[in-house]
Amino acid sequence: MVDQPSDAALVAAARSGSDAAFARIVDRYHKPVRAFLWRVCGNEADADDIAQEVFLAAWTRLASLKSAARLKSWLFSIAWHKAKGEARAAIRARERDTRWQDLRPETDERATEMHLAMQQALVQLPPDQRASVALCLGGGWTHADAAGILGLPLGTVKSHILRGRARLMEILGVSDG
Amino acid sequence: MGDHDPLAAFFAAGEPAERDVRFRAAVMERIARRRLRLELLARLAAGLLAIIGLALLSPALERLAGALGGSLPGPILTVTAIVALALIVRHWMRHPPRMPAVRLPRLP
Repeated sequence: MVDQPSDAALVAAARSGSDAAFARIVDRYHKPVRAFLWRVCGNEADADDIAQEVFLAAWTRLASLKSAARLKSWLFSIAWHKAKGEARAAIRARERDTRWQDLRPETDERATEMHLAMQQALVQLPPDQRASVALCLGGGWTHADAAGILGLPLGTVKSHILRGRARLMEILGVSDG
Repeated sequence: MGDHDPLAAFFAAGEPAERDVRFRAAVMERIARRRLRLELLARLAAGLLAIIGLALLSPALERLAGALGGSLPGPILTVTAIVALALIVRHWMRHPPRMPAVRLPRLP
């Protein structure tokens, strides 16, 4: 088993100019960051473009990261701000145009329909609610961590998750027991 | 969330691959371009500052050149100017802006 360098070690090396260290950071966190953005944006191409900007912004502002232990939540915080600010209008326009054009051939049509229905349901949630659901239900973050990442009060995040989950279940026609 | 939770199934299905070399390469390429732009801007700013500094110092330099011109022969002044210019150019050539070369780590 190969020892994986800690976040602190990678951040320190990246700060001193190591591209390899920053590439390891990208490798380590691209999946959760992109998954979060996919859910928040509803369009994978837009989300991946924003994800690239997130890592670019992280590289630029790496010196401002106070604690390397917070690297993951810091990346998510950048991701949320990027998704909310820079690309909101573009994403909405593109969602309208391509939501149903992104269909890819799947072997299990029923599973695909269910997935698309869920995607559609998620996109219908208000942005803050969608982000809370994506972080806590999709990403496994605690309510407190999600509140920190999104810059929202803890109670608001809890309420968003309860309402978001109920709304998704309602859209899907599933009773939330 | 239990096994039959449709939300859990949805979130589990909609995730990127664990390892995505193309995504990493795209990020590192954008970083290399950003670094190149920043370094070129820094060089440009340094060059502008040097020009402004020389412009501000030019009256004093002219007086100095006039004073030296009276006491030193012309060829020595010319050689000194050429050597100074060559040193400056050599410094710039030895510290060129880094080109966007991306060194990717070896995957374990």
